[in-house]
Amino acid sequence: MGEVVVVTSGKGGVGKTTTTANIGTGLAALGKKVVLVDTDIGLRNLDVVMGLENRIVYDLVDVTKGNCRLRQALIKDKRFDGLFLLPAAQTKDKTAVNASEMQNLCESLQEEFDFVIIDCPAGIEQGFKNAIAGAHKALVVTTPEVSAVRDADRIIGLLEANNLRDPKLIINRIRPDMVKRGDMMNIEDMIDILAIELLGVVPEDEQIVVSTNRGEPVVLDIQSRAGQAFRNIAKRLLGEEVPLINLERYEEGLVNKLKRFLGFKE
Amino acid sequence: MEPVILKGNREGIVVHLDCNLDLQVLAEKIIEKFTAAEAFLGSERKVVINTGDVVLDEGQAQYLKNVFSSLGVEVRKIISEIDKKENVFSATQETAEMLDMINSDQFLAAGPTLIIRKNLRSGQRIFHEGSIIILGDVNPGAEVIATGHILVIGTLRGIAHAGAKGDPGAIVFANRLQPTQLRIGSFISRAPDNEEVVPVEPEIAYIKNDMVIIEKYLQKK
Repeated sequence: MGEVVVVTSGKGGVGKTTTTANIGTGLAALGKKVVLVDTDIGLRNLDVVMGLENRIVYDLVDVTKGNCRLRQALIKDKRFDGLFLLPAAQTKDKTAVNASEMQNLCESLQEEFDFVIIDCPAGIEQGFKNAIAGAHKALVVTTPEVSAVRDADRIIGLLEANNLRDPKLIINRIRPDMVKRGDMMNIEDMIDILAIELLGVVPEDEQIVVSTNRGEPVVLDIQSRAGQAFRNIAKRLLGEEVPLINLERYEEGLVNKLKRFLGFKE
Repeated sequence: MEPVILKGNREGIVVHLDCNLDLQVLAEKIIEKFTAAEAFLGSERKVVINTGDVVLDEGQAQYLKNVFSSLGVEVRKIISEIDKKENVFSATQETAEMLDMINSDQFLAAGPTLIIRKNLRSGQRIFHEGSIIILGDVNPGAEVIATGHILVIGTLRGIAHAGAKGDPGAIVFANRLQPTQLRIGSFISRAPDNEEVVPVEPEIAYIKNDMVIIEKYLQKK
């Protein structure tokens, strides 16, 4: 029986969908059978990030309303045989599905897949309640901003109230240079407030924008440091112990490397 | 407890004695024990005596030393738990004082005390008729409202309102007091706008001359 993991954050734009796509693809690359479920009904975009938009025929609402069989709505990924997407409906809204329907859906999916990864919509209303209804585990994504951390804290409280204990934290879009200057919250500050286990830290990476627009998850890009961070997170989800990547190393750009080489910089 | 207990540690053998017993009875027990433990002792003929929570006077100490020397055992020193306990006490003095405060009539007058053993997170709100003790943090965006006192054994970063029904005698205590806003009775104070103050020790807030005063808890003697 598989594991149902919800990726949530409270605040919008912190990278839930990117995280879902990359962790899911990362797990599939490690040979796991994975299904990604987009619960952001009315504002779906996991399909776009995965580059699978043009394959959608049926969606999550069709499944829960019995308009099609579950199998028919699952879209097979272009890259991995073990990776599937269950897209959200775009023409309806969050009230089109309720928590018990989601629970049933998760129960059927977990029988066939090793991982069911649920992309949660922003907010704490019906969409959030639906997304967490069938989950066993939660990953809370935040960015190093006071507002995002505040919302993450709120979400952790709500998860605990719904018996989703011990959520794990993913800190996204961190910029080591800014942290070093004291212009950005550091990892310790965030963990101090949120008091949950850290699963991974993903550095800010322009490559994310490129890969999102192309519909190719960055986790498959060997060059990308964000990709490396997501590969590590996928491994940690499988219980492997992987140390955090050394962010400092990436701080040094090519120009500085050159300067140091020429002796202009210590 | 057994009247005579032998324990080995890095420094050698420590003899724990129950000195609440009559010394002559104790002497018999010592002889009994040491005869039985001859094999355990081996060539080790020097011991340290631990008298537990009793401090011996000189006569008693000499008496015991004589008992040991009759067994061919030299007493290196005599210690008691009392010295250790004094250290322990000063470390927990904070806690002890707090217990006094909790047990005081004023504390109980407001109503029964609610004890919460978790972190309060953004969006969570606790209201209680009486005092509240939180074993954990109160994060920004969380609110704690009590008609009595509020004690946070952790970091208070959110909003606390003590004496919520207008009692200006209520206090707010936190191991790290850095609230977004602090209300006591009908008084409201907030964190300064441009400086981030990070407290490094427990602080207490109360009303004095119609002002919210925050001071180091341990100074207040």
